[in-house]
Order: sequence, then C-alpha cells, then structure tokens
Amino acid sequence: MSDLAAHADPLEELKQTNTGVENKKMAMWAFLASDCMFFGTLISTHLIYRKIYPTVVDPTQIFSIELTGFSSFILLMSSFLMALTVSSAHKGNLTSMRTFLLGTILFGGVFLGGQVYEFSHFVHEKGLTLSSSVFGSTFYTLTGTHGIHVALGVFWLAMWFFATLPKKFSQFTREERLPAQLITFWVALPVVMVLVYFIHHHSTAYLLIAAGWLVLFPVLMLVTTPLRGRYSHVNALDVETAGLYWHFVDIVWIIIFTAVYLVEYL
Amino acid sequence: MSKPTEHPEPSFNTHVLDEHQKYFTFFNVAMALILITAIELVIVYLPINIMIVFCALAILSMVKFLAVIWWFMHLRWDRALCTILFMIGLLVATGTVTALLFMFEVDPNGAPM
Repeated sequence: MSDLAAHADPLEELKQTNTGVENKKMAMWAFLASDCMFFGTLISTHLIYRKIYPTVVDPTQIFSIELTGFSSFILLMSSFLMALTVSSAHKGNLTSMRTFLLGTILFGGVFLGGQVYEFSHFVHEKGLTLSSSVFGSTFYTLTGTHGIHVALGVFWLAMWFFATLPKKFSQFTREERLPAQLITFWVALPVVMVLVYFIHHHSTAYLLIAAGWLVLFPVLMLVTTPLRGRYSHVNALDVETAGLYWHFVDIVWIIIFTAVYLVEYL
Repeated sequence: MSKPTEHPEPSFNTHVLDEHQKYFTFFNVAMALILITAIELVIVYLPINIMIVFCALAILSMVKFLAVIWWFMHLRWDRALCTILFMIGLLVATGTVTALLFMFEVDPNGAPM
C-alpha cells in the first residue's frame, strides 16, 4: 500500500453512492426526521392538555429547576464529548476516542440517574404518578420516552466502547491509558453513589447501585468478549451514526427543557 | 521500503488538520450552549413582561437547537441532502405541533372551545 493510500481518509470509499452520502448516515438522518414527528406529537399532546386543564397541577411546586438545569448541562456536555469522539474516530486516534466515548457514556449515565431521581422524588414526595392526573400522564410519557432514547443511546455507545477493546485480556496493558480508563469506568459510578449516600440522602438504594455496578462491570467485560477487537478505522462511520442519534437526543431535550419545564415558571 | 518523500503527504495533513480545527469549533459551541442555558435559567425569574421572556426562551432554544445540528451533527460539513432530509421531518413535525395547538383552542376561562 502506498503512503498516499495509507494516510487518506478510509471513509471516502463509503461515500461512493448515488447520493454521495454514506448509506448508513443517510438511513440515520431519515430515521431522525421521522423521530422528530414522533416527539412532535408527544410534545403537542403535553402542551394541549396543559392548555385545556391549566389548574390541575402547579408544576412549579413539583419541578426542581436546579436539577433539570444541571441535567441539561450534563446532556449538552455529553453532546460535546460525542462530537470529539467522532472527530477522534475520523483521525484514527483510538486512545482519545475511547476517552471521549467513556465520558459521553458516563455523562449519559449521570443524566439517566438524575431522571430516575427526579421521577422517584415526584412519585414518592409530590404524589405525581402516571395516573394521578392528565399532567402526570403526559409528562411521564414524554420525558420517559426521551429517557428510553437516552438509555438506548448509552447502550449503543457502550457496545462501541467494548468493541474498541483488545480481543485478549493479556493485550490490555499494552494499550496506552487503557487500564486507567477501565478503572475509571469501573470506580466512577460507585464513588458518586457513595458520595450521594453520605452527602444528600441516606438511602440504601445508592449503596446497592454502587455494589451492583462493581459486580456487573466484570460480568460485562466477560459477556462482551465476542464484541472486543472488532473495531477498525472503517467503523468510524458507525460511531458517527451513533453520534447523530446521541445529538438528536440532546436537541429533543433542548425543546423539552424549554417547552415543559422553563415555560411553567412564566 | 518506499523512498521517504521530501514533503509530507498532503491529503493526510488536510484531513487531520480539518479535524483539529473542528476541536476548537466544538469547544466554542459547547461554551456558547452552556452560556445560553444559564441565561435561560436566569431570565424566567426576571420581573419583565411574560411575552418578552417567552419570545426570548423560544429564540434561545432555537439557537441551541440549530447550533447542535449545524456543528455537532456535522450538517455544516456534510452534503446539503442530509440537511434537506432532516428539515423535511422537522418542518412536518413543527407544522403538526402548530396545527394541533391551534385546533385545541381554549376560551379565556380555560374551557375548550
């Protein structure tokens, strides 16, 4: 192979289609366009019922705008890290790509944790359930559907993270920064959970989550053995496609944050 | 063994340099998004006309939305076809939301019309 061929962008070949756009990327954009309509109906349903039954619930007495603001910040930062992941994938820098991917997954996990905490708080302390009022039904349907999208995104990105790992455990120490990355991934969640337990709320659920993750992670490493070592430079397109989905989840939250949360404070 | 070239391979430099420049673009966009979110959180508590705040929120969230799709989702660098495809879905969704909101009008007392 010549130097020219070795250094050229390997994704250029995938652009040789009738449209000039890679087929996978094209399919993802078509899916995202359809998902816009899906979320459009959910958002309009929530807004219509808020308009027809304005006095059923006072959302400002239920919402915690500080927590939601923090969640928005986390999701925006995860989107930033995802953009850097895709950039690193295109450069062929596997170490950076893994680091940014890990950050994206962790931030996605923090967002999901915040949503679980928010829902739990609403149900147990504010009495807002799926069937308590029309507001509860439309609110949980909309934000829950978004949460499922985030969870699927985290799962998808985690699969790519595991795919970038070497096939054999003996090769792990040869990779630059990989052991440190894996230890961070393993320990970060339990540390956060233990801190939350001591600082915020003495609920054993946090300690159970911490212990569960400490056990689950080695199991995940074993279960994902068939995935490991499958990533090659051409898969940068797959990471980019996953990135498009992740950014879409972020833009949906931008709309939900304004239309469902902030507008209630006016 | 191939003979070392006097000048570095041009396509390699262009490709990697483009990605390096994107890093700074992404960083600036991310900082702008944080700033806009902070502004959104503050203006809802300001004692100014509700319609002004409402319009400001709509514009700010639209700016955030467009910034993410334009830079983070690479529409700026991709072919126009991707933008057109996404905009079709977005316009149909926006039209549906607008139409539904107008269909379910309420009178000043809050009762459905």
